[in-house]
Amino acid sequence: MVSQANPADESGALRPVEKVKRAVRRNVASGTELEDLRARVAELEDAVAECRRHHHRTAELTDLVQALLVPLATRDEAALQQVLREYTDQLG
Amino acid sequence: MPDLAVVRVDEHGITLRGSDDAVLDVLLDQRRIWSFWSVRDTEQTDGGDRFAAWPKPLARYLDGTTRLTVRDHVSGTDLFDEERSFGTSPDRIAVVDRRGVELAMDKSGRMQVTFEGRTERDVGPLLDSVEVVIEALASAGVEAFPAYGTLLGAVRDGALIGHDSDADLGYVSRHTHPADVILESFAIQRHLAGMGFEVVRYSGGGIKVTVEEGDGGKRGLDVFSGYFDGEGRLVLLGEIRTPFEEHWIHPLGTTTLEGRTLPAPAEPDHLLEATYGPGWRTPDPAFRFETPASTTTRLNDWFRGTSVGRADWDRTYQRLRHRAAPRTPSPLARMALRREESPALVVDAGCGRGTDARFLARRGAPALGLDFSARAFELVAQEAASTDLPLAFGSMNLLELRHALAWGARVGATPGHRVVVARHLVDALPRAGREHLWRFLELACHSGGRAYLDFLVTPAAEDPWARRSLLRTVSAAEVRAGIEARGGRVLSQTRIGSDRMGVRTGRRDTFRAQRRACRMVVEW
Repeated sequence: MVSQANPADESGALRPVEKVKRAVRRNVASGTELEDLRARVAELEDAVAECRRHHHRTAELTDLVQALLVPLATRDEAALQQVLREYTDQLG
Repeated sequence: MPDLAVVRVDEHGITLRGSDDAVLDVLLDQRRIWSFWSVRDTEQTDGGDRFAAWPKPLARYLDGTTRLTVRDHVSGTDLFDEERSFGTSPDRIAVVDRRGVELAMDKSGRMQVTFEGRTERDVGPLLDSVEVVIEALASAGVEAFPAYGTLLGAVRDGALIGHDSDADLGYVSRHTHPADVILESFAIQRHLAGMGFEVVRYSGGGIKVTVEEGDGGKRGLDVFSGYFDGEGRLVLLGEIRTPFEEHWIHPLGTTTLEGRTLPAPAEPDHLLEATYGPGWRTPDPAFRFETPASTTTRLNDWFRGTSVGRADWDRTYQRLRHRAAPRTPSPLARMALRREESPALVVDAGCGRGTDARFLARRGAPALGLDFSARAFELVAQEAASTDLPLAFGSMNLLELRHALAWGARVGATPGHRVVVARHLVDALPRAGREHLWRFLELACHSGGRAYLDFLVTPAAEDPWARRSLLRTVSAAEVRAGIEARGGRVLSQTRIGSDRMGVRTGRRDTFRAQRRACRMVVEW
């Protein structure tokens, strides 16, 4: 009689349940691997959030540069002061 | 009708028996004051009943007698209807504001003037404002429509929702990237400000436009940006990110609100379902958004972070708005004035109500008060406008980089010696705001300008004075490092005690002995 603890049958081949168990063991990460994966996910989430946050900063910088570029390029001091005044007065 | 019974109503709250989850209205003298879900918003008692505690903002009104009714919202059946007394007052309970206007609890849990029982004459000015702002937005290039509760009321009943207290507008941009949507929103803000509207920005995709109504009162309408993300989803601040067909929005159709024809999404049912779920046709005065975390995270990252802590400051200034600003200037402003000979401009950064800026101007130093909240310095600015004091004010939100850069450049362009005073600003800002402050100072004080800074270094969170003043401690080393990284040179750094930190006299203050600030003078 084959013992319940014996993973193989009489012919020496692995029983189906054992095959599945071993396959699962092969594919499930160890504790350390899991921790590594968790850390990587957290890092990736941070990186994604960081990228998303560039949208606001990009918009802010583009907005300001665009407002100032023409008077700067034409070296129009009076227009530059006027743009700065209007730009700041319309912030809120 | 739900299988529910009211078993007790007392000074603590309402106890229910039954397991159905239904919206219940609480009426005081036949007027709806509060609504809640019988399971979602209650706790299980030891005896297996459900208990709804009086919400704090409402509890403070419960002193006197009233006819208290608990009514099933959908069927209109009364589960409880009796005279009840609370507290010691012999009077009828009146849930009204200082002017005697009736209040009820709105969806955000605040006691507000809701639309319930308001006549057409009452809501007329609001609808006028809605039309004015939609037209102004059209002139800025976007097609706005009533959104959220305002759209729901229009489509469902052709009327404002009784338990609502404000009107919201939205528009769907033609852009597909958050950065472009934000840029467009900045341009819209400028356009509206140029037309004379007071505009306050809450996020990269949310502004409040204030309209002056016929009677001189002011009303703020929230305007939310939206866009299609190019992958078949509609994103609409502040709650929506969902698969959506573009032809459900554009070209806009119309809806009717209180007899007025207003623009609306082409097929508004889809937007309402995305906002309020498939049950949007059934009224729910206790509705709460259950926005998925994935949507909130994205909206936070893309658009938000520029109004951190603002609600607390707004509450503080709202409370003080009719009170004259204090007259006594801070020791920091006095010190700056004593040390700096005839400065061309003194900026009070984070000026709050404008006391120091006014003091400096009165002593002959041209002064500019900057604060994110225009409400804070409104009174002193009005007073200054009627005098010939060299005093001006402006809105600077240090959580927005463009504010820091533009104001820094404007101040820095002033010929002559420039000085910046910042009393308890460093310690009122989150880290990102402090980084922007260093940039502002670098630009404003370039070529020999000086900055005077006071900030709390100890103790921390438990200090009621610090809490009331919305301050947190910052280490002097961190401030020094930030300033030096932007080219500033610290001329002096001293620790000062609590007697010079604006603690009101006569108030028990157990932290007095421990509380210390740092005073730093910096030159560029």
